[in-house]
Amino acid sequence: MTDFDFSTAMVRSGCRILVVFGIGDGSVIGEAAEFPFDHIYGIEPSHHQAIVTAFKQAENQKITVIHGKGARGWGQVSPEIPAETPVLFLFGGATAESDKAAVAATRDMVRDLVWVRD
Amino acid sequence: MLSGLAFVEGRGAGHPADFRFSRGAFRDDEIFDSARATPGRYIAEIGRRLLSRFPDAEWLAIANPLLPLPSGLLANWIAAPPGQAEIATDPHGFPVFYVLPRRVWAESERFLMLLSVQDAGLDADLLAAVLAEPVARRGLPLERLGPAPARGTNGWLNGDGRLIGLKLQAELALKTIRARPDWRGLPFAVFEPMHAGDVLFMAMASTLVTETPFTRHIVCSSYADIPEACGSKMETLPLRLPWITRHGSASAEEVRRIGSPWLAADGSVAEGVYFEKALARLGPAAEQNFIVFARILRLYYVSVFHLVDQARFALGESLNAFSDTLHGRANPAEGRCAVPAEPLKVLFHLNGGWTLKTYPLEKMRRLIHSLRGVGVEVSVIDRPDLVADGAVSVVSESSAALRGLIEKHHIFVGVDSFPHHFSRLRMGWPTIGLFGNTQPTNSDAAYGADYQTSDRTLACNRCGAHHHCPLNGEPDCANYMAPERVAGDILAMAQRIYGYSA
Repeated sequence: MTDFDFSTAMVRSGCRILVVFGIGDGSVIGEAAEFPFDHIYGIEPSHHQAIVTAFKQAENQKITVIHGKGARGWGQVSPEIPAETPVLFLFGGATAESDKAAVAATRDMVRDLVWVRD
Repeated sequence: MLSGLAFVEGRGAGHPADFRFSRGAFRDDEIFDSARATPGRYIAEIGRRLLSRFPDAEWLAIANPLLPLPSGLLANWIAAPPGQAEIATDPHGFPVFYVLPRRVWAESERFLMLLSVQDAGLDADLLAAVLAEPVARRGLPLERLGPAPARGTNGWLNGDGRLIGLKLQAELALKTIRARPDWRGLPFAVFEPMHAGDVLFMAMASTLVTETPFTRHIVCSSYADIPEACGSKMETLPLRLPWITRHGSASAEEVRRIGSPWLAADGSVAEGVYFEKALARLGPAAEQNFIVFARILRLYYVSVFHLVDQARFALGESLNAFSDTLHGRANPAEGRCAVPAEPLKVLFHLNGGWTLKTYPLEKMRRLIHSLRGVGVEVSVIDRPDLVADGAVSVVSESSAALRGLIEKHHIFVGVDSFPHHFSRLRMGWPTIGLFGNTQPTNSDAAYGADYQTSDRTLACNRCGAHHHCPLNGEPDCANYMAPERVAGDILAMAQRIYGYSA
């Protein structure tokens, strides 16, 4: 289990979409899949990690794994999310700030909830 | 070798016909060599040829294209048509040859592309469902033939078990037929989801084929803009799954450390495994189409034919003459830069899908230096490391962005990759193709004043390596032309097309 309280976040912020930058071994996405998100996006720079998680979740149409990083990865996700829909963003690792900046460059994040992992 | 027998009523034994995979001569006994076409597509093609030679034939016996069987051998096993469709097998149910009535070609030829050619039981059920009549199986006195080896004597690849994709497509088709009364009207979808260049080749092929059952093209969502940008006549079905790399997605150490049931020891993902996951990912869409696996099934570079033409054959076109091919006709598109040719602007794309496909750094630096020295403006896609050498690094994140970039430059110069093919085949832009360890005939364009390729024609091309030269171990391919010659080619083309003089 991870330390993320998805249930509380969904209730408090109304977020029904989760975007995870850096999915690692896919455990966070796997855990999040247990919650009633409308859709979960995972953006992963490692092709290996991306394909393994994508295969694990292949039948779950509510999960989309993108192989990419930063602005390019976000560029494949952003057209699918309406501007007014609140999103729970999960950033982490050394690229957290640059990933967040990439999102902020194309989206008004005032309604969104942002979590940053160490 | 490909073979068959045609049975004409009242004339006893079958009329034999043997064919070879064409090397470009287009003789009567040659059939086009396509790495994209399923063995079932070859069964369809052999049947077309037999019916062309023997128009009165009522029954056709056609050897499994995976096997190099001469017609004389078939004739020993089948002296007369059996009176009903059948599949002859080895003792383990591996299909040896198919006996089918001619009405298959009139009514249902497209379904032949879905055959597994490895499981006679499955294929008999599929054919019986399509024909609405029983299809028998008959064992032959043989040793076991299957499973297919890593590379069979007829050239089919199965090193990573990719032929499982054919079984999956046949199983899915049979399931669909059994589940849907409207199955005969369902669309055919071609599964060629990656990479960018291959998606382009398939899309361009759809614009050239005259008759095809395919109306849909399954494409990884990250490449989903490409078919429309190429004017594809097929509807795009996005596959929301990452594409797989050509040369492994992880190091052997990573595989040992992290592991995965889907990764081979070298980190690569088998095509059959990917297809299985793709079908799961497509969900209900998988059963709303007849999906034909059109990934590489033969070594595409053993074929002398262009990949667009290989895709056209996979889509159903026979391609029986040189004039039918991409090389045998002028490029229908012709684009020119509207900006005055002074200063001359040249756009480069230098990074291919693997290390040896990338134009060597030192050569590129010398090329930039040469061109800048005569006042040419040089832009390079996604190469900020070359800014210090005098180039402008530009970003191309979509087909539309790429088109915009190309239109701002007089000449495009690119390695064997999507931007090169888009520039030339789709836009008809003045283009120079840089070739290293891939061979031009598979992915260049018809030559003309505004298109040429550039390489040293070394005998080692095509080596098949990805990261290191098999001869000297270097990460650069020695077959790339010297920068001075490339610069000269650019200036000569600029003079021919735009009247430019340095």
